[in-house]
Amino acid sequence: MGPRLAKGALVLLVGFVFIWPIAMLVIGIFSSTPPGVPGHWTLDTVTRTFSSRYTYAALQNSVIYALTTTALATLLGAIFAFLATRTTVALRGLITPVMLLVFAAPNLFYAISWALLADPGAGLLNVATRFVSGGDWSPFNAYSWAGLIVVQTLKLTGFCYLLLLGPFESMNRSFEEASLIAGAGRLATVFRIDIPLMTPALFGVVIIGTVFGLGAFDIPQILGGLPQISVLSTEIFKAVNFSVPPDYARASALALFMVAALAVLLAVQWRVVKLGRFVTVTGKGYKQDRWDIGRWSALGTAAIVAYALVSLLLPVTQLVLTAFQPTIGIWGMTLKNFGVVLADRQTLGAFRTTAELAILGGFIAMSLAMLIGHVGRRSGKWLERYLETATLSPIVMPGVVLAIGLMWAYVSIPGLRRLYATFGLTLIGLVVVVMPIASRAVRGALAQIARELEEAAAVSGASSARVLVDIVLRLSSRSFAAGWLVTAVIAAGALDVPLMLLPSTRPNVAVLVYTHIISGVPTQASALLVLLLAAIVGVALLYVALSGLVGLVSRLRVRSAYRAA
Amino acid sequence: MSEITISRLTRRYGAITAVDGIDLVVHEGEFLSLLGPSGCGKTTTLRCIAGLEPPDAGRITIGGAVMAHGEGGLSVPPNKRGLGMVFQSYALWPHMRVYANVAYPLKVRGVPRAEIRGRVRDALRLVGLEELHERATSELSGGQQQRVALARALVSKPRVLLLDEPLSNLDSSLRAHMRREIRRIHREIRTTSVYVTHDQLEAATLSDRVVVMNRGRIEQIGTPREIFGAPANRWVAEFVGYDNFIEAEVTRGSPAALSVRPKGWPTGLTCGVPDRARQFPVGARVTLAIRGGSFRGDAAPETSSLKAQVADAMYVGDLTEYVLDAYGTRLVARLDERAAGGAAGRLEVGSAVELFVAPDQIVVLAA
Repeated sequence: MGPRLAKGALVLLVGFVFIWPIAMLVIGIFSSTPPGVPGHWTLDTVTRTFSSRYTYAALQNSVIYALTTTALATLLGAIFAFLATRTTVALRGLITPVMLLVFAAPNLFYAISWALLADPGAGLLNVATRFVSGGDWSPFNAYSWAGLIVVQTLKLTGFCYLLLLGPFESMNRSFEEASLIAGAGRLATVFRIDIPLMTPALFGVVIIGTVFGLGAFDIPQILGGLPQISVLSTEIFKAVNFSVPPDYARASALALFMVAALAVLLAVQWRVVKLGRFVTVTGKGYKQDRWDIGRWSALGTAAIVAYALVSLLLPVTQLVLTAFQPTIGIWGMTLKNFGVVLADRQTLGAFRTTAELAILGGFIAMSLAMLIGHVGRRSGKWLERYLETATLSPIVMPGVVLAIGLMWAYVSIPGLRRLYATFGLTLIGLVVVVMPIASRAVRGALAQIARELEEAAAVSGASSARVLVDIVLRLSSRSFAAGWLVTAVIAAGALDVPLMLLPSTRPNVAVLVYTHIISGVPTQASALLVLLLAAIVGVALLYVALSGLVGLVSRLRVRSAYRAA
Repeated sequence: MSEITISRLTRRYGAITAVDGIDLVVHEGEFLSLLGPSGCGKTTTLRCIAGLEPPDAGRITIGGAVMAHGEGGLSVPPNKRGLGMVFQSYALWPHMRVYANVAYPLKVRGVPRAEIRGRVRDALRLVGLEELHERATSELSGGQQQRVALARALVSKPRVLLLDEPLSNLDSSLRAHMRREIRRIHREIRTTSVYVTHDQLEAATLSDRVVVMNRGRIEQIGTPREIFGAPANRWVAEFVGYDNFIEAEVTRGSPAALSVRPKGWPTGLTCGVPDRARQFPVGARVTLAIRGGSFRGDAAPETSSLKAQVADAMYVGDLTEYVLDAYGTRLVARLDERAAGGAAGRLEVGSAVELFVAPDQIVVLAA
């Protein structure tokens, strides 16, 4: 296959995988019938959806949910980023690891552990409150607006923090120093220099946080069901799963509504980041000098401890406790739950499905991202921009939206119709979902490879395929492995896409956990979730050990090879 | 068969024309330098020869075979051109040891492993690095990395060796050493070489011929002696270090010498006429180019003399640079202090001085 033909094939593939589902959403809302069934064009759905008060209730809830959680998470993220990068507060080294864990932990874990933690009867928080107050006061309830917002905020804070860490670290000290020399105090400098300088970065984080908040599914689906708080994403799910027959057109309309809103938000964000990038980041190395914030130090340390407690320690403790409880709220240790879930034939299959989805999905996503990144780098400006936009487009397609888009996209094509409700389509869905992260990881790695290294290989006689394998892949293999791990972990914990796309006879672990929660056996759900988290942690540790070993072995092997030569 | 011919080569980047229709022939076994300031198109020309950039117009042939044809949309990919290239950043692959870096061009061409070993050893011996073949490239000094890059470029016995400012990342003493090394290696292997540099000294010491480029065009092609001793125009003269440009009028011409009188001077100067036929009739307006270092403090046969006042004196290491006022014309002269001041010692600011300049040190340019 000639290089030009191969490039054309890649362009088509990228268009089909990333753009086609969005296009099909548009077509879907004007169709009178579900995907794959011939029908006629109609405006019914649009009028029905946008005249329904449920739509606006869900929209209103989504907006409240997204804005409050984002505002809180950005504030917390900024405070912790400041503590971590600019102060001498004790335990500041703990912040980044904690935030990474929070970021990596599945939404499902947060939803379920907090549902249990703030369970009015058996939740640790309420038990502790009753014990301290001596009465029967149980103030905590995760199945509420407060619960929704707190849990989403805790989770989102990890993401906001990680996004803000870079800008805080690269803030040019000379701006602050100039302000100090000009006579401004420390506090005045923070308010008049630092905060204005950080505004573009903060604004960008707010937008991205809002995008994620609007698209959130797992947490509102699990915690919002009881108090009947519906948001756009849960409405989409409901339209397909709780209507008879499934109302695909309404789901598409809501989904498209969301895509449009997110696209607008991202467009705003890109403009701001573009303007802001050059303000704070000079790219020049400078001495990072930290600020002793005096009496506030203790408060900072307390905040770090508190966050670690509520975001990781308490949820994990509650989850593990529940997994070992005979029935929820009954104190005692038993392995019965593990026995039951492991005896279930579905469990083993679910773990296999999760493993396959995660490992294959991560690998395919990273390989595709690598190929796209490599081709993009060697292509004209427009092609590069097209490929980049396509791989980032899944950001505007939260899991439920993507699932609807994929149904339309694949079912509408005769040969691909067989993929409907299969492992294959779920795999494609997860590849698309993790693509923005994969392409981010790849772009960073490729940017590290100087062009001359590739050119030197070409001049040495290597074909372009050979350059990709010998130079580009070899030099980015570590980033590839790391990206594979991250995307696999995300795919392993995802609930939304598998819930909507997997055949009901072949659930993955997340779907199985969700099923157990819905059918009222939180102990078994916890046991399963503990097993899933243990497996994820195990894989991560294995990765760390292996990458250390690979480094060691390759060093030894190279040395001995040269001895022999 | 490794002669390179370039005809009407043009390469544009958007609205900018980096190379503007140049014609050039690099003879077999020749060492040719492309010399010019940054942005003059020299690196782009080299990259077009390498196949790393397709020309927009024009033709490149190597050994008679067409490698690139802009109008025809043809550009043979770099891996099919049989070249060796040394990059400015060396571009040694960090995941390969020295040996593997040098062996790579042979490996991708399917040379048998046993043969590779011998040829890599030969290449490393040529650059004086035999002992270091098992080092990681990060364990090498800049000069050593440079040698590895050279060995890698030469190991496949390429028809043409391309070098893109290979010495610009080295410190000055190492640069001088590597210059001698490259010269030695070229003497030994006689590979047709194209060398891109902005450093006149490198171009002068290494090259059989130098091509001076500016704004995508060729200003002059010649031996180092021609370029430095007889620049074709004011731009080349300035670029190769002439510091004094004096407007003058031809007063008398003969086959051997030309008498000129600078504007406003009571006295004239005698210039040698370069053998490149360039005739200036009596009365023609010309520009004289003289290097600051061409002035001397004592007379010699056929030298012209001029009188001047010292306006400023600056000690620049081994010499002293004087700013002079000669009959209203500002001149820069670099002199040995004692030679300039003679018995009187150093020249003070404000003092008068008589200087001499030999006819062959004055370049006559069209005004």
